[in-house]
Amino acid sequence: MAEGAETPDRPEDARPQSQQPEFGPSDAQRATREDLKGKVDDNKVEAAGHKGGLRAALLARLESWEGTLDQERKQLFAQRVERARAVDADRDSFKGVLNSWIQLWDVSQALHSDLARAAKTGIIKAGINILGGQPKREWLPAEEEPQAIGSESPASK
Amino acid sequence: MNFDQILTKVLEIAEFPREKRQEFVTTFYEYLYMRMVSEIREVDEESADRVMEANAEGADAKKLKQIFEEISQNPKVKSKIDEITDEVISKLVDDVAKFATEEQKQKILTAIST
Repeated sequence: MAEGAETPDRPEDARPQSQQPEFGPSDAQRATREDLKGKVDDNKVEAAGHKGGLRAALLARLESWEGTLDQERKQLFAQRVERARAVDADRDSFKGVLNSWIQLWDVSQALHSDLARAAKTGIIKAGINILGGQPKREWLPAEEEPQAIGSESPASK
Repeated sequence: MNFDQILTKVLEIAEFPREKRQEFVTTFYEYLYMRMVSEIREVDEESADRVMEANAEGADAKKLKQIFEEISQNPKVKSKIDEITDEVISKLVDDVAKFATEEQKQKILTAIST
């Protein structure tokens, strides 16, 4: 690479990447580009006018306005697409959080129904006995009463 | 004679293609509007939004005039409106001054003064 090749030509090029505008060119870059386009367009109108008089000059002027409007529309479209992408990204991250909550809810629901099912089949009692705890009333089928761990039912005596 | 009529007369005198005359007038206003909104936005975003909103709602000339009068209360906005209007219309006047024949210029002056 030639020496000095990395030296920026314009002040806006000298800014670090993190300071570059989020969407499209900066105002300064845009203004410079518009000025340049304006001058090129004026030259075209001038050339057309010298060649074909007022009629040709006005046709060239119309073309220049249409070109500017077209560019402006494209610019607006690009900005809208960028913004829509940013909104989508936000929405996706929100969706991610929401999904994790939904998954947690599903897990808790599943756990709850598993516990209820387990209580019905008596597995829960065995588990609680192993852990040395007291079964919660709502875990158990309606007809069963919680029993102290280690105690035996009167029927078993 | 309003600006619309003057513009139409200039196009007629310039022998601008008949089928493109309306396109020229419409594009002129679109260009002026686009420049105006983007320049006003630089000094007062709210005023630019008001103009855009009125335009989107299909406001008539009277309503637009009223909005321009209101937003022109801000001297910075007024200065931008004057600057852009001058710049855009001056280009057109320059084109006529530079490239119209003496006969065309005379016809335009006569049309404006009647």
